[in-house]
Amino acid sequence: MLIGDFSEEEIRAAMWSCNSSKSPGPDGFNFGFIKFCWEIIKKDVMAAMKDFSVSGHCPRGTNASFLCLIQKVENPQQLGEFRPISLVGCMYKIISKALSLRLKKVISKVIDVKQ
Amino acid sequence: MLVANEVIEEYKRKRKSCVFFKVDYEKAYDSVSWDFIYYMLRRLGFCELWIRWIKGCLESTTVFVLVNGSPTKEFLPKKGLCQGDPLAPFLFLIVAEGLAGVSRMAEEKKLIDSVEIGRDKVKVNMLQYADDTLFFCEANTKSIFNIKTILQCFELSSRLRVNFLKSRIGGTGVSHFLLRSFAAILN
Repeated sequence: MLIGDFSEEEIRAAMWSCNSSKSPGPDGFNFGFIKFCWEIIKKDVMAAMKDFSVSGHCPRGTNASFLCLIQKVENPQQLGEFRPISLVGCMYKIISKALSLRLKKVISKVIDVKQ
Repeated sequence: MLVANEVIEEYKRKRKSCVFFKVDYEKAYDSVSWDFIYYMLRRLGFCELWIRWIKGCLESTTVFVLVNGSPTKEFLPKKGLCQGDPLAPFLFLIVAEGLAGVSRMAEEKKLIDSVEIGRDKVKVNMLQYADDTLFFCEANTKSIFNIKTILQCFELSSRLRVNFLKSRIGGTGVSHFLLRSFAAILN
């Protein structure tokens, strides 16, 4: 269950659980676009997932992210008054979402109930 | 939080004394050590392929800082999780499980006198919710001292530093003076 190939449904589930209108990362696409064009690009996405599951690393650039500084207070004067939020690219988000969906199924078995 | 309230209520009712200590980590997400994540994954029985996937996800990160809308030169982080990455909360849970494991062990070895709640005498010495941690123990110096030691060891292995300025200590049925001395031990 955890180490099998990524199926199309799984990727679909991962993608559809992402919000469509979040700020895009460095690649400039948000999920609205990917969902809209899913039929066209799904072959490429699946190939990329396959590549990741075999090689175990992301090609350079897929996992680039913008670190956006969001201010915590009205008039920030120090770096500590900003909250860093990273805007990650779509492809990486799909990978990481798919992994986290798998992790979700087993996490309750490994983590203490007290958490 | 519900459990925490129950513990405190019950101890108030029984007029027994207990101490609780709320831990605040300094920049929790940004300072987690990657090696510790891999170690925990291995300890929890994830297979090598999974660890390689997680490794691939973490180590391929490159970051540009957006300043006024324009990105700066990229850099490669060597530790920490990105807020915004869907995997990050889960990996943080796995890290926190490390602390839970240690505190369970401390309970078994009677290093921390945990509080008992309910009719079944369920023992509780620590509650965690994401990056908030709450320790419970009976009011004695030994337990407090061991909590301190556990937190120090956890800091050394996972690089999660406790921010003592923002951490809080409290107690029911414990004198103010005693609480002060416990706080001094912890800090």
